[in-house]
Amino acid sequence: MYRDLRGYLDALEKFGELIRIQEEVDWDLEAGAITRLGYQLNAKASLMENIKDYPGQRFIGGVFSNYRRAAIAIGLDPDADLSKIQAVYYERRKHPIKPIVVGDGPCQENILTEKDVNLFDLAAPYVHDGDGGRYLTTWAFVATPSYQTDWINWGMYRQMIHNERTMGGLCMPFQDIGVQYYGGWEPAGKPMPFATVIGGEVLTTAVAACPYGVGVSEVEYAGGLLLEPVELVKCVTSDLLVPANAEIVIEGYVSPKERCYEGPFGEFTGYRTAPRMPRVAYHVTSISYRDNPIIPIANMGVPIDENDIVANTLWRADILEVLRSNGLPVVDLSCPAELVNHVYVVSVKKPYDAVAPKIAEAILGTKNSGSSVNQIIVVDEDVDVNDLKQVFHVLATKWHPRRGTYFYDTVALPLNPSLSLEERLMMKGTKVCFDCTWPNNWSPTAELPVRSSFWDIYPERVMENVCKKWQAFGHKEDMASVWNQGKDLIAWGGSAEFNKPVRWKG
Amino acid sequence: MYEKPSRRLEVHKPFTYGDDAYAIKEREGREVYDMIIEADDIGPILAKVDQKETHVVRLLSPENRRMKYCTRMVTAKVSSDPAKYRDRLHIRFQRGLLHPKPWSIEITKIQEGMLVVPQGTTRT
Repeated sequence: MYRDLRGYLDALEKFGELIRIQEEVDWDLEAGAITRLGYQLNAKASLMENIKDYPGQRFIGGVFSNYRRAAIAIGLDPDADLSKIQAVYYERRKHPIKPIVVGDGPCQENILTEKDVNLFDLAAPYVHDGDGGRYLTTWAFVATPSYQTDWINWGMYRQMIHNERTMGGLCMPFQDIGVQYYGGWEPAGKPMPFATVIGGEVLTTAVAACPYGVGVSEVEYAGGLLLEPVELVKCVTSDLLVPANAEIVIEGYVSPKERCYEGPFGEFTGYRTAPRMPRVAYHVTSISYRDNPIIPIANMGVPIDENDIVANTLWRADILEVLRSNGLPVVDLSCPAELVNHVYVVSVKKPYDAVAPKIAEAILGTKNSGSSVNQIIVVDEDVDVNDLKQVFHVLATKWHPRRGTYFYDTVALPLNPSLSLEERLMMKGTKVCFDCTWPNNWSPTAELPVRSSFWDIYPERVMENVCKKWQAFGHKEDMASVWNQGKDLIAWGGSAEFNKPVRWKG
Repeated sequence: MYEKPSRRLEVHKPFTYGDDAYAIKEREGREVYDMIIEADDIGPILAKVDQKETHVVRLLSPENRRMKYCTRMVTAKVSSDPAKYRDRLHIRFQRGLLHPKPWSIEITKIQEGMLVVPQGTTRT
């Protein structure tokens, strides 16, 4: 695939997905604002090559913030259909590849230790007005070991620079790092080593945003996605292994019972929610970096940004596998990018009536997804889960507010904007499942309505006739080709829009 | 398009974004700090004015601009009177909203170390 982040950025540029900004950009809000507006316009990624106060360092904003970039990252045609992109991410998840260890790597071209360490020598952006500090790790991951086993976790956890050699970080007990720290290191009274990896190859970083589960090593999933092993190099001050091609590696330890203030931070939900609080303190013992390092900025906020694309590619693949491995008759699943990973839409070939709550309970009960999701929408197999027009249509028409609603009081992500302050602090909340499927026992003639879309309500001879004459009528859409490609489909369900059948791009 | 300034919630509009700290420093000839308080109202910090207390402040106008937003735990006296003490202080509430009026601060000692908590607390 790509040798490193730089190789991926070259590919983005080649496919017209990246611009280089030579004008001076301020790390204090301006770089964050450029990145944020880029998301909201679905503009090209911005490689900022002239950072105020930090000559020689660079920012990349918008590194993985649309489906074209997700396709390029995995070696697909940038114009591939979302269903194709999702299918490749799903298939490659099934074949993890173990990493290999190499003697050295570009990430250690420059090494600073002890008194030479000063986090403010890195061009950490001040991302949003009102943030608690400067965040180095908005698109990066933290590698930490288990206290009890040989498991190494990679997780995308925010870290805010507190002072020259300390960062504060959000570390929730149900996250993998929280399981390791609160369940192992802190009770034992031992410092937990960490290595923060900034600017790794894009998929090597993206896997860390997915909660694969306790005891699972994300690096093997990265290898599976890349179709080759990730090359790792030993850290400078600990035995942790990190990608040899990373731009920057920050090493250190988290002391038990010690805290520093962290937050607030504008988060992936689109709001600045969780308050400033004393949180775990990462003490830094060394910084190693490539020449002219590139620091990715993921400016979390309203969709669509990196979080949302990760959700509907990698995260979606993980949840789908969890459901299928539990024997649930799932046809497709979407974490719509527009809905910030708070909503999952699941289509089923419904074998029994209570399958919707069964799916919700499986999702909410897993380590993988239960904390972030708020709403689970279960639909029949004839709905394209990636088409929000169809999803909202069945929510408006097939969901029965009393019979089709299931509430679950459970653990919740404190970043959830709808929670009260008390709920955030207690990490408690309510999730809901909307069953938008037809009851199995409804009579097809007396109770089950017939959908009135072009593809459902007309005889094939009429559809064929209209499609073939469509352009002759003066319309621009090439419906004759659509008809020719799609007529072999027995069922027309799953259309990307109501006026075209599924997979019409081939 | 999201988030045009005109679309900011009415209840948030009084919390302005503030001037550039270096422009304030040049204008007033003194350092500028801010403090993010663990509260949504000014009451708890008002109870601490004019007393030597431990506070956590951020440097907003350091000579080396790279150090901007560095955090220090300090012993200091603060006042809601912007002229009472040597340096200028801004108050931000726990989710980052800026209190519209400047305060003042006099730092007497920079403390070392971190907060220490009993095990099992402040997990989020």
